[in-house]
Amino acid sequence: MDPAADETAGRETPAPGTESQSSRRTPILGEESFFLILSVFIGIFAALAVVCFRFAIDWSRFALLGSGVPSTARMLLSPALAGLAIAILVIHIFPKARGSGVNQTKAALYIYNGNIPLRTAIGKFITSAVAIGSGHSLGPEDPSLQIGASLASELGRRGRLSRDRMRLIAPVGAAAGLAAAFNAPISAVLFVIEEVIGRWTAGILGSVVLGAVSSVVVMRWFLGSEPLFRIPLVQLERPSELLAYCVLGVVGGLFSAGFAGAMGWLRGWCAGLPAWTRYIQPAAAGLLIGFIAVLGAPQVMGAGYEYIDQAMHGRFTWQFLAILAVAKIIATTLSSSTRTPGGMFAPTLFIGAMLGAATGGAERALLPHLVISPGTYALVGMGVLFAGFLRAPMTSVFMALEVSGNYAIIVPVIVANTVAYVIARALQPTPIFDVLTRQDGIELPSMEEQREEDTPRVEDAMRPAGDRALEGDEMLGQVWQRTKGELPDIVLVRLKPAGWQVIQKKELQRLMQDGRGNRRLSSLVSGESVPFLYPDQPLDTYLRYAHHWKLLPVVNRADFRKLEGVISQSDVLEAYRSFGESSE
Amino acid sequence: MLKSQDVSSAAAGMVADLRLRYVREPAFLLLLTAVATVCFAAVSGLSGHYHRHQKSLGAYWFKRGEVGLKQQRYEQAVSEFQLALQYAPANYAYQFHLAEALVGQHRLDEASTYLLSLWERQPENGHVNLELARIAVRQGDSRQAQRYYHNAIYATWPTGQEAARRRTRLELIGYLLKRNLMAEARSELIALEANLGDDPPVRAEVGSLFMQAGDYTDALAAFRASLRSLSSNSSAWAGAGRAALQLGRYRQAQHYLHVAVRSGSKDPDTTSQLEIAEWAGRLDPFQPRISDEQRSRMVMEAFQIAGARLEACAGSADGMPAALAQPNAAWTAMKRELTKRRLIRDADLAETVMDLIFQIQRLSAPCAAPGAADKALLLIGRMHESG
Repeated sequence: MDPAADETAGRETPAPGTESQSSRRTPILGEESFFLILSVFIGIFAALAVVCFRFAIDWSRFALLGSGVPSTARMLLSPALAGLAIAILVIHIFPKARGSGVNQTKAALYIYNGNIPLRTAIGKFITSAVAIGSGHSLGPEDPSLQIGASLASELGRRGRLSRDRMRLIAPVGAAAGLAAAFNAPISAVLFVIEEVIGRWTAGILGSVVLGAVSSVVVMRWFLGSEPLFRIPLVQLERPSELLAYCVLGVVGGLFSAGFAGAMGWLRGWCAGLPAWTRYIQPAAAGLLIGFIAVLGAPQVMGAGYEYIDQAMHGRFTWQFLAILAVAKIIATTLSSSTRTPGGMFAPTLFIGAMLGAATGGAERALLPHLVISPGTYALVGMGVLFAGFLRAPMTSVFMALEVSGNYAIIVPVIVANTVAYVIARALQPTPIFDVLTRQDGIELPSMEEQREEDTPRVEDAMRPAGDRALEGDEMLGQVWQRTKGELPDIVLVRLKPAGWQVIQKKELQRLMQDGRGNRRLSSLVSGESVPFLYPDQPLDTYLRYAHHWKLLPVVNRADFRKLEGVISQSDVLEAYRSFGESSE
Repeated sequence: MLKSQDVSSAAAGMVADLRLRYVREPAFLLLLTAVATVCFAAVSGLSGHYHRHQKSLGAYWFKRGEVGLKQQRYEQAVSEFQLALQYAPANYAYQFHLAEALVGQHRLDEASTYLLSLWERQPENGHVNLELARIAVRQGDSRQAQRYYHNAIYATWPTGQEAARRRTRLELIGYLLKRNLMAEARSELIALEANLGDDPPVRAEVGSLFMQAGDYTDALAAFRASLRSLSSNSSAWAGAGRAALQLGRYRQAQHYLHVAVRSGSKDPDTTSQLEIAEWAGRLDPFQPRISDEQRSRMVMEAFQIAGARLEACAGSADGMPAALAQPNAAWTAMKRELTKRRLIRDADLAETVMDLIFQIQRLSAPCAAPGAADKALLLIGRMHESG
């Protein structure tokens, strides 16, 4: 197996404390309550870890780049030498600390029953702090997410949670870690539900929200509640300005697809190089990033939040902003493709902000009456890249809303994000996180594919009832005469006032021979009522009853006495067969 | 035997279940609480060290920025203040100084966002409101400028509150006068005067501002109040003279302007104002308590001055302006029949003649520089027309 693929593919053995049966726990609190309390502790520990992680990044930056504007030598050497040290660490000591951390958390959820070794968190902490502090174009959010997930997993093991709960505990930690890193609990909760878990239930949502909120509270205790950037005055005075935001959506969609394509290609290419090059790949990436910095764009080094702030407030010309966006794409592609530990969130926001401000600036230069405040475009641009590149459309909208704290931005954000998402999806059908996991030889469920999946429904398989459904107040003899005894093997009998029964043809035949032709059908059937389905239910709903009922009625939701059709095992199999053929 | 084994295994099961229910889970949560407390304390210690380090780095770059700002090296100051803020993002003073440096660099929008975030934290801060007002002035936003100036006037100032408020109001008045918002400027001046201490130069300055706002009565009062405390202030004498002249109190004006010249006013304008005051006293036929004889003499003299003015225009390089042709003809026609006696007999005639004189003076302004007598006639005209 490709050693690089260990990043997510490493088979982790279940921890000894992990219970395999949920019924093993019968504590005084009840498992759900215990899980909720544990979520609060997860939030606290994740926040403490993320706070320390922030300190570590800053100390690493002081040590490697200095406290002021770094010299040329430092800009060139720091990321390169740090890259060399990181390569040694991840190859020999922390092999699972590579990459961003989002896919590793998903792998824990879907493959390893929620287990992420604590060693991974330690490795991620050290290597990411050095990488980001040295100037690699990476951010602290995704590693924080993984550190949080790993801590949560450890707590779950120690708390001897059931397997089902263990699977959910990593996302709780992930949300807590992300919330603390990003100072945005709503976005963190949404991202984890949208991209990691992929489904909403009250139980999951409660734990994830508790974890995220407690984490943000603790983080703010230590680091304050100052936002990551100052938000410019947001105003949308004319609806026609939405056209300008559409243009931003188009530009963002194109750049997102280009960025994802470049990263996918370069990462695959780097993985194909001889094994020994993995020692020097992060260093080479660091050196190239240093060159970009020396050539006039030192802003690309590190997470770059301070430059996002400046872009929002008209610090740079739109031409320079466009250069910065392209330079950051190159730098981030280099860092991520060489699997240097660190996140893609901050670079994505950076690129989005630069691209947004550049587009807003260019539009203002061309159409001064249309664009009121180019700073707002930087804010919207962040959401655009989030939707187009990370393919988290819902999170992207709420993130812009949460970060800006201004409802006025919602319409431009929705418009631009939708356009970007649609374009990026058309040009780059596979989301970047899925591209990366597939390169590692793992097939994790794609949340976007799940969202877009065409699920077969009952109405796709049901067929008209015809002689398969008979009225209960009809005489057996009349039925027999009308159908000339040509009935299907199993028929449904409608009872009054409501309900269905099932009876076999041979049973009806025997009753006829016994001379009960003058009896009503309803008096001849007995036993359990037959359950019924609705046309819009997923087709697999049938499977719950298949072992017991060979034929089921499909009724109208508004009038359950109205029969829409019937469905049998063979109908279901036929529907799945034709669905499979059409998918191929 | 079997029965006793069953009993003991059931008892063991019960004990295990009880342990699970009542011991393990609470113990685990207690342990987590203890570990969380220890970790919290440890991170607090680490955080203290981290923040101290950040603070010292912030202070270092802030000091460098302050030096740059004092030397008006704004670009360097901005970069250094930004570094300082990187280490202390919430620091009020750092943000304020960065905003000042940004204003120095003409990056007004950026400065404004910093100041607005400070304003949200302390809306009553005088410095912040004043800077925001100045930015609004530079951005041409009169409504916001007045709003922030007023905020600053009623804001709290760390030291010298009264002086700071007075300075701010004076700045606002200057702005209003520049924008030709005379009514607003007068209101501010009245409010300022009400809170003014016994500071003669400031009272004299207020007098000058009243003059600019066209409120000569209050201007004269302000100058006189200043002179009561400091009679040697020649500019206050001159200001009082100008105000009195504009009010048509020619004798008073002459007195004040004489004293100003005597007390060493080197301002050539004071001398010329004195000359105008003297001419105005000599030529104004609308003065009260003068005889008909005196009035007709004044009209006749003004009439002659207007004639001289017409001659000067006719002899100028560009010749007499077309607009003066009709007044010139009227003056020539009137000259033949105008006598002192007729003026005494016909009170309306004096009025008609003076209207013609004022018209000639106004229309002849482009063709020749007016002398003191002409200026005096213009002043009389203006005062007569305004009632």
